[in-house]
Amino acid sequence: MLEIQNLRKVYGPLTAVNGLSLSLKPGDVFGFIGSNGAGKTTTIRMLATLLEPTSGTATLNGVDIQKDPMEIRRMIGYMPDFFGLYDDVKVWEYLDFFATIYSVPKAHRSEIIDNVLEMTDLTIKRDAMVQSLSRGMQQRLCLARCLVHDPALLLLDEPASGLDPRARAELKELILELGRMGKIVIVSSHILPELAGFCNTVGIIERGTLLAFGPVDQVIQGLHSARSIRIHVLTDVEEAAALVRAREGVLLVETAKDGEVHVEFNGDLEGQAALLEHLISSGHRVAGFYEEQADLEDVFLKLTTGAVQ
Amino acid sequence: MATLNSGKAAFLWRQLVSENPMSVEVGRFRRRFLEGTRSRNLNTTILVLALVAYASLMVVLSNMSGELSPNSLIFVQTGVFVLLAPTFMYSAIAGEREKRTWDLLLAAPVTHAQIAVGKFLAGLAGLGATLVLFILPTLFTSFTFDNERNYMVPDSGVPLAHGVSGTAAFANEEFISITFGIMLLAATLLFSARCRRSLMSLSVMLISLFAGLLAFPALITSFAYADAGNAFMDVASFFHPFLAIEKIEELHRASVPQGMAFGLIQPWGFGVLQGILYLALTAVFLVWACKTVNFADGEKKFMPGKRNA
Repeated sequence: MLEIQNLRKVYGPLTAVNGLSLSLKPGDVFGFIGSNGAGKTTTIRMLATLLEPTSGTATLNGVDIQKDPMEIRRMIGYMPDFFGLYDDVKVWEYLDFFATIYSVPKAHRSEIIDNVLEMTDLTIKRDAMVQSLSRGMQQRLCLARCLVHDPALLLLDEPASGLDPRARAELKELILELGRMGKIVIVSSHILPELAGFCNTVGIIERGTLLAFGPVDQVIQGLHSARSIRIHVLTDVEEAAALVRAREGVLLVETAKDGEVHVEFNGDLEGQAALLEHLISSGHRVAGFYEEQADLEDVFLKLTTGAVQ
Repeated sequence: MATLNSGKAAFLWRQLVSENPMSVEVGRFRRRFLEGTRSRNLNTTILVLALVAYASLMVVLSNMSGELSPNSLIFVQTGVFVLLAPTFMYSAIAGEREKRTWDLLLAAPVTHAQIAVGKFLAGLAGLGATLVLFILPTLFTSFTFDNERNYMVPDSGVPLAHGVSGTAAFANEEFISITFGIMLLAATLLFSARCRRSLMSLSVMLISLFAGLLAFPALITSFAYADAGNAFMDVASFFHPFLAIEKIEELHRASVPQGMAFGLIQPWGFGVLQGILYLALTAVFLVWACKTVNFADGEKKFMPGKRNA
C-alpha cells in the first residue's frame, strides 16, 4: 500500500509539488498525467528517495520514505526518463550487477535473471552487448533491471517516450502484467492515449497540484456530468434540433450542415432512449444515435490550463 | 572505549569492504580493463603477448644481474602508478553521470560511502595487479644488486658505509610508491565525484599532477638555489614521492651523519612518514568524495553561484 500525504517540494521561490495526497493499493497501475514541468518527475524522484521532500509524508507498506530510505529502496524499482545503461557489458552482466547491488542471494541470481529476461522477452539477447540492443529492447532491459529484486512499487518515468508503436504495445502488455502480479505501478506520461489503455487509476497534476485523482472512469465521469450525444438525421436537421431542444434535460443543441445534431444531455439512459423514440415517432429518419465517450485527453484539457512553472 | 572503537571499525569494515554490495565494481572493472568488448580469442592473444613480454623482461633483468638497482624499478613503478591511477578512476563517478546510470545507483540500497569505496576498491584491485607485475622483478633486483660493487668511495675501492640498510631502503621506497599510488586513486575519485564530465576530472587530475610533481618542485628548487639551502629542498623531497625515493636511496648509498646535509627533516623522516601522510590524505579524499556525491541529485549546487540541473 502506498500512502502519500500532503507531499511538498519547494526549490526557493518555486513550489514543484504542492501538497500531493493519494493512496494506491497492490495491483493498481497509476497513470500520472501532466505537462512537462508539472511536477511528475519531482514526485517520482521523491518516492525514489532521490529528493528529500520539503514536507509531507509518503509510506510504502508502512515504511516512511524519509525515516527508512534504505528499506524503501529495497522495495522500489525506479526507471528514470532516460536509459541508464552501461554499454560495455552484456545483458546478463548488467542485470547481475544490479542484482548484486540489491543483495539478491548469489544462489538465486541466475534463475532470477533468466526469469526477468523471459518476462521482458529478452532471453534471446542474454549474451548480447547492451549497446547492440534496439531502443525498445533497451527500454525493456531497463524494466528488467527494475524487477530483479522483486519490488512492491515500480516508478516508471515516461517509459514509452521515443518508442515505436510496436515497442509501446509490448511495454503496455508488460506493465499490465506487472499490475496483475500485484505490484503498484506508477507510470508518468504526457502522452495520454498511451496511459488510457492500461491504467486503472489516474492523477492529473499541474503546477505541482493534483487536480484529479481516482479510477479512470470516475475521473472522466466526474468532469462530464452531462452526456454528449451525436444524432445523425436524414430529414430536416433544424426541425430535429428544435424537437430535441424542447425535451427536458437537454442543456445544449448544436447543428451541423451534414445533418448531425450535437446534444448535451443531462439525463440517464432511459432519457436517452426516450429522446430517440421521440425523434422517430415525430417522423424523423435517424441514421445514427450515439453517446460520445469522453477520454482522458478531454479531461486533461478541461482541467489544465497548460501553465508551467 | 577500545572495544567500542574496534566494534565501530569492524562495522565499517563490513559495511564498506567485506559486505559492500558495490565491491561488485571490482569484477566490472576487471571486465572493462582486461576483457573490454573484445572476443575471447583476442583476449587470449593479448594475454599471451603480455606474458611473453613479461618473460623477456625477466630474462633481461637476469642478464643485468647485480647492476640494476631495485630503486630504478620502484621509480618506474611509481611512474606507472602516476599514469594508471587517473586512468583507472577518472570516470568512476563522472562517467556514471555521463551514462546517466548515477541515479540508478543512488536509488539502490547502498550508501554513498559504499558506492565511493566500491569504486575505490576496483581501482585498488587494478593498482594491485600492476604491483604484482612489478614486485617480482623488483624483488629479483633487490636480491641480486651488488651494493659493494656499485656503491664505492670514489677512486678508493672501498665500499661506502650505508646510512640506511638495503632492506630498509627497499621497504621504505616501496611503501612510498604504493601509498602514493593509493592516494592518487583517492584524489582522482574525488575529482571524478566533483566533476560532471570524465574528461574534466581527468584534466583536473593531470593538471594537479603536473603542478605537484613538476611545477611546484621546480619552483622550490629555484628558491633553494637562491639562498635557502637545503630547507626548501627537504620540504620538496618530503612531499614529492620521486624525490623522497631518491633521498632514501642517497641515504642508502652513503653514511650521512645525523643532522648534516638535511636541513629541516632528519634521515628517519624519509620513508614511513611519507607513506602515513599519503594514507591520511587518501582517507581525507575518500571521505570528501563520499560527502560530495550528493550534488548530482540536483539538491546541491555544482559550483557556487550556478544552478545545478
